[in-house]
Amino acid sequence: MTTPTGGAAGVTLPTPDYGHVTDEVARETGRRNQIDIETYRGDLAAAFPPELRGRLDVLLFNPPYVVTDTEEISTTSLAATWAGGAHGREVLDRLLPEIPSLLSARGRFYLIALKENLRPDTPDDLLAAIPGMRGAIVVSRKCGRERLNVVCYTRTPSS
Amino acid sequence: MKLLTHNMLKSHVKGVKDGYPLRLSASKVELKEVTFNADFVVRMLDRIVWPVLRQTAIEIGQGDNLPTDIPADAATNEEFLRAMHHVLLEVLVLEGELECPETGRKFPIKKGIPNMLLDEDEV
Repeated sequence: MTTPTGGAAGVTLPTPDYGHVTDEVARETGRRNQIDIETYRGDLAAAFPPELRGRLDVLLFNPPYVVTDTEEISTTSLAATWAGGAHGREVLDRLLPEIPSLLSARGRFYLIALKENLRPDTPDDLLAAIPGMRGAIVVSRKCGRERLNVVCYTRTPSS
Repeated sequence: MKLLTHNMLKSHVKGVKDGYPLRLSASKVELKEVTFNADFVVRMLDRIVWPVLRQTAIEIGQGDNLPTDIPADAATNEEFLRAMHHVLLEVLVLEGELECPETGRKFPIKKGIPNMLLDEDEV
């Protein structure tokens, strides 16, 4: 999860054993693109203090979205970087309830999702899965064998 | 780790009430120039916790010239904005640790990356 704030950003990576490698790759990618990236290792939004809540303008999340067995999520193997459990939603669904309190009034939340994660016409419709917010697919692209969607969530007018 | 990042992190050890601010001890600090962007610093004025930023900067020897409170004219006070820019973005803690104010749990900082992950029995 990346929280760009203009000249700096925070990235959380939920994979204990591989965290340092992915952290360092993220920083190097930033360096080569003249973007100043800050990273830390943490579990989703758990390490954000209440003082920060309601103050994020943009939140990006590229979750582990691949449909797998639930057991793969908790392992410390490389699979933990992609394993999303049932419907590829188990890690993602842990974060979604926290989004409204993290974002500022006009804040946006961007998410990468596979078709399998979307679950339209079910009670678990991903586009309607955040209370007080609505998601829309803003980009959809085939990447190898995956079709990746970028979902953008904004607050619904009444909230 | 920049002090901006320190300002945004808390301890979430099981049972902790606030877990904020984390006490920073730095064994290796680097200063790296970052292009001054007044708009960015102004946007950060109501997003950071100033007393925490100031106190932490002082504790690692980088807090000279920081006023106790954010001045009323902060948004147009370039001298203040430059001082805040420096402590927010140009002070890099490469090695050290963050300590939970309530439990004393230490979170290591290695190669500039704080590790906030907890063991299973701590969450």
